[in-house]
Amino acid sequence: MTTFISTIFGLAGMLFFFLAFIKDKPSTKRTYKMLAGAFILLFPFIMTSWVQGINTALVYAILAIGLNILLGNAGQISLGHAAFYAVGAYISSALVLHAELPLFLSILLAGIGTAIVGFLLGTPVLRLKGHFLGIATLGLHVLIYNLVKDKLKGVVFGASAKMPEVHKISYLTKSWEYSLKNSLSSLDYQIEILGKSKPFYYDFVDTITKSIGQITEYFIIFVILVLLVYMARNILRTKVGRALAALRDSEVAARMLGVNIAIFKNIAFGLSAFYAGIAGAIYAHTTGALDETSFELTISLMILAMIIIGGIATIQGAIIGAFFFQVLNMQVIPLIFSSGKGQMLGSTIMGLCVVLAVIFVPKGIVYMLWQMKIKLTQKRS
Amino acid sequence: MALLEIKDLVMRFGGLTAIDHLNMKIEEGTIVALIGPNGAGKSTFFNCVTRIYEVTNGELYFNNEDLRKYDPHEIIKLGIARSFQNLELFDNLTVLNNLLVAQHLKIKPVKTPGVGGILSFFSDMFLLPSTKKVEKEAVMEALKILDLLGLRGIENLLVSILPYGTRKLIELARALITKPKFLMLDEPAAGLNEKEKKELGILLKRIRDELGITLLVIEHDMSLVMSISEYIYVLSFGKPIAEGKPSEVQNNPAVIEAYLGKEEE
Amino acid sequence: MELSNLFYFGAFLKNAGLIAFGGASILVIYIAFRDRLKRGLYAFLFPYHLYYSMERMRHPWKKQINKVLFGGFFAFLAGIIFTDILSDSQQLALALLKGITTGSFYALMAFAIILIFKTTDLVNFAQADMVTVSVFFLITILGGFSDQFLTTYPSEIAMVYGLAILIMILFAGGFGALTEMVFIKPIQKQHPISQIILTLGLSMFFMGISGVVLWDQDPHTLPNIIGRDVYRTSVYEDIKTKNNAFAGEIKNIIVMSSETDIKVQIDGAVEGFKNQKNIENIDMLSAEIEKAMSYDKLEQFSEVIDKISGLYSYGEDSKDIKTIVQHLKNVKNDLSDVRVNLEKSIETAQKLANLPPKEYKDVRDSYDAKTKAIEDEFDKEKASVEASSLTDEEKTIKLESLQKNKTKDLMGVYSIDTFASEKEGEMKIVPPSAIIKFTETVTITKDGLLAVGVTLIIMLIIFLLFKYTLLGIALRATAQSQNTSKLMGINVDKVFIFSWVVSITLASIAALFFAIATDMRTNILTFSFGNLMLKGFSAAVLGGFSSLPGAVLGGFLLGIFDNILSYTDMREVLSFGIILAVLIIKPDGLFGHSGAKKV
Repeated sequence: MTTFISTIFGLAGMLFFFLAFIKDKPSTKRTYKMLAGAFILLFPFIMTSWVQGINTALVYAILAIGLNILLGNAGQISLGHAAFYAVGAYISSALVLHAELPLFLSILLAGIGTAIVGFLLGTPVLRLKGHFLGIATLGLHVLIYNLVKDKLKGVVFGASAKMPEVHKISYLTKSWEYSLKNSLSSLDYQIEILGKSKPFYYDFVDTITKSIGQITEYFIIFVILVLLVYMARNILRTKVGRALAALRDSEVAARMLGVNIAIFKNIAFGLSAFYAGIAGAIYAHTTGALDETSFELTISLMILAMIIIGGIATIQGAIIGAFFFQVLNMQVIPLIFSSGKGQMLGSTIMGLCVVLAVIFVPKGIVYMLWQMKIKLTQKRS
Repeated sequence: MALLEIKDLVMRFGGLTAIDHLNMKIEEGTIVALIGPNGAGKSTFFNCVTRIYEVTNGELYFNNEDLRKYDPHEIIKLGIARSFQNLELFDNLTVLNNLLVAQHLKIKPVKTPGVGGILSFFSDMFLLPSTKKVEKEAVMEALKILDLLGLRGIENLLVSILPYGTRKLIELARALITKPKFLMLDEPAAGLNEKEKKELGILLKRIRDELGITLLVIEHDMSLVMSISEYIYVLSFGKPIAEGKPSEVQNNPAVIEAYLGKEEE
Repeated sequence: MELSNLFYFGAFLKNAGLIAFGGASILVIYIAFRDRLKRGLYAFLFPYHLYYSMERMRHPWKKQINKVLFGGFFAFLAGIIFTDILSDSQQLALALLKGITTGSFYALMAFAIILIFKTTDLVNFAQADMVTVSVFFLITILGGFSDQFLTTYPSEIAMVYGLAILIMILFAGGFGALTEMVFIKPIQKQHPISQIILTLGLSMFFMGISGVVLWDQDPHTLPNIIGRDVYRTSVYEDIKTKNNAFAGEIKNIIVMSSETDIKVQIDGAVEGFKNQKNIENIDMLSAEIEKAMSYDKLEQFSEVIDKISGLYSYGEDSKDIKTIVQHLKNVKNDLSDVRVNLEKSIETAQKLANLPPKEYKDVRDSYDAKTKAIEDEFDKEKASVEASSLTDEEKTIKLESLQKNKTKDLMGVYSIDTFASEKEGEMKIVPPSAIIKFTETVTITKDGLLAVGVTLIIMLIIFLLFKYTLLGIALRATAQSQNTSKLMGINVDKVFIFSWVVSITLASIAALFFAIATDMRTNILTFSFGNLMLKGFSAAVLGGFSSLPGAVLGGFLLGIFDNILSYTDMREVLSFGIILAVLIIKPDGLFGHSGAKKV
């Protein structure tokens, strides 16, 4: 029964988003946007089993937006972005564990720290374009990955390589969790000892109690994402964003107009590293165990695939791509195949999707939606 | 001193000498043409002046400034603007954005020296009033230029979909919006029909007369060259073979030979 | 201890190079600042100013300064190689020889990458995984033959194997052609970034196909073509424990074996040989022991152990190594026991390495005491057994069991459990030990030499093909300018397909030889970016991405460097280090040339 409700709810939500995008009339658009907003607020309570996966999708979305700034807007290929993800996670962990800074400050500083690293790392690869830049960033990734894997893990975490509970984002609502647990146990008492019947809301409270940590994460990450999207959108519409686009479209013309392409290449790296750093920090404070398979090359490629399939050079594309992949990974693959082969199969299908996307929908899902929108509005007139 | 003074310019790429001892003096307020058969080194010369290439030898002075001290992205600060032979517009941007990029150095939400850049960035990130103000001003400037060139109405279109003639004008607009002292145009009439060429000639003269901009034009269309230039330099295979007033150059046998080949005996 | 001439030469190079490089750098920085000083603070902060300054330097001696700069740097590197890494000319010769062997694989891989790049302007990031598919295909074909074929080497095997390889070559070619036609052609007109991403997607897809759909993720061994080893060495080294005063003075032991002979050499290293790598992996240890011997010949195994233990006849800690080795001897019949015991010893030894000197000494003293107690007891019991009235057979059995117990007790002396006391000041008895550790196994196999031969022949064929056949000319023309070639009537599509066919075929051959000659257990990751492909890429970058002969040369150079650095810790760093270094300093590599866009 609940699965049925979840599915309907989920489909409805997607419909709201879709229609909010398609419809032009301001009043209709606003209605659908509000419906979509309601969906976002209610989602973790109704589709609770999805929250964990969606949280990952949100983190990947942040990563994707960052990479999009570098690749889609500034035109610089980076095949090793997961390295910055790792750096962000480590900086934040170190700040929280060793410098004992508050959680959100650490996340912010981790982002800034990663941005600085990204900025500096942009310098040696300034001269390179196209394939060479891709290869160089690949090399950088491998370098950072090995560094992090062997040397830093022990330094930051000591023996356990795990983030203590108290520093996780889910800890923020620990008190609510306790009070919910109390209510639940008093309910249990009433049911089992006093023999009262199970109230209809019992299952609901039970599920929520178990997932309250993740639900907290959901909202926090969502807020951070919204903030970051707002910042990205503004950056891209103003001086810096335009300079990056100029850098992508015609370096020589940009130079002639006063754009210092060297600095802006660094800025592009730094900016996208900032996003990756924040994403990494969030990852560290949610998942907690800094497992190096999360920073592998396949992750870099996966994020790349996300923005390509979602729609390159658009923020919506990055977000759509991230969700598309995560949903695919989360729901579709386990449904079809048993878990043993699951992960490898996941990347296989992902690879196939990338290939098909590049051949048939080269500009991404967003572009496809635009086409749909144009066709639909044309039909009416 | 002349606005632009080039002394003994030599540009070599490995074994190939692209420019072989070129001297040039361009006075302020003049329209000068640089002509010569294809591959003569004219565009290379532009790239040398705008510092995209590092000259092998020679001196370049603009307004008494030694150009060799400057990086390519600093040339615009001296007041030099240029267009490109193969149109280097920002294809994925709108007309308006192309013009806004051109105002890159002028858009400054926060003007304090030193940290102004970073603070401006923050202002941009959160769309603070200072940003909104300067963006609005920049847009006004862009629209003004479009008015000047009779291109109003297309500002929100992607440049990639516009017709060739319009694109050329946009590149010109982009150069003009930087309020240069000196404008270098690389084959501005290429691909235009007769009528458009005539209009271009009138426009160029207006630019010089009304905006006080000195022009250096690379061109192949002889009638256009003859009609607007006051002085002409001729290059062939990197060597300067003639210079002078249009009438002098027109009848110069070396020039004729360079274009048409030697007369059959 | 003798220092070889190589070492002195190396030392000279190192110092001279350092001085030259340092001096030139200071000069460059000075000139850069002098010209840029008017910029103010930013000039000092942004490295790109210095970097571009080298290009824009107008000093009259610019060329000479550059020469001194780079010359000094390389001299310094060479110096380091000769002083710290190679201990004598024998190692150098080995490294060179082996370098050429592995270099041939890298060369072919690099060639394949660059061939596609030159003709189609595309970097095939999926090459590694396409090659995996080919090699797995080969394994599948061979799987049709029974096991006994694959473990012996009668001459028929070579023929069958050869046939299988031919089939694989055809498959690889077809696969390449198919990929080009199905996946690459449709996206020809798209942005280069999209194309790159397509190949990355293909990479994931093909890896998945190999790992999940068609085959599996397990490692497989490929049999040799001609025969096993020609010459193998393993280098065993001591780790100095932190308190040097207590550690053994032996620097290394080299055990060399071929099919018929084992040699042991001690302290072949030069003063200052510094590698200190902790054994991380007990599997590595036993694998290396295995490899260094002829297979399944445990007698020789123990012979070597004898020799090792015999060699430790000086130094305070000789006893300790001996004891460890003694364990090896005593339990040599069961290799798994060896692993466990060694593991424990190593663990405790590592713990011990962190003790301050006084405690260390106390520990050692108490260890000595306990060991003595056990030995005394053993002697007593042994004497009583021998004096008893049992039969000889029974005596032997009893002695053996006594021996086993003694061993167990001795082991108990330094097992981890006895060290586990948490109370302060109460130190348990643990042995200090010099831990045997490994660096690379340098292997030159007959197959390796075959690979070099095959590579050279292939290169020759390709060279002739390119130069003298119409197809080759068409290929070169397309590589220079697609549009002009089309105008000349060249069917550019067919040329593309052809270049893909050749590329994948060559890469597959390279990968196959790589897997065979280095005796690696091949799985889906063997040829991938973490491994062979990365080296292929480095070679391509080193040689110059637009130069085919450069690729080949780059491959051999990389092979040699790779093997020289196999004597140190930094082998993995080399591959991407080279990529980064070359791309930063001279993106065109040694022989490449970049086209500039005309504006």
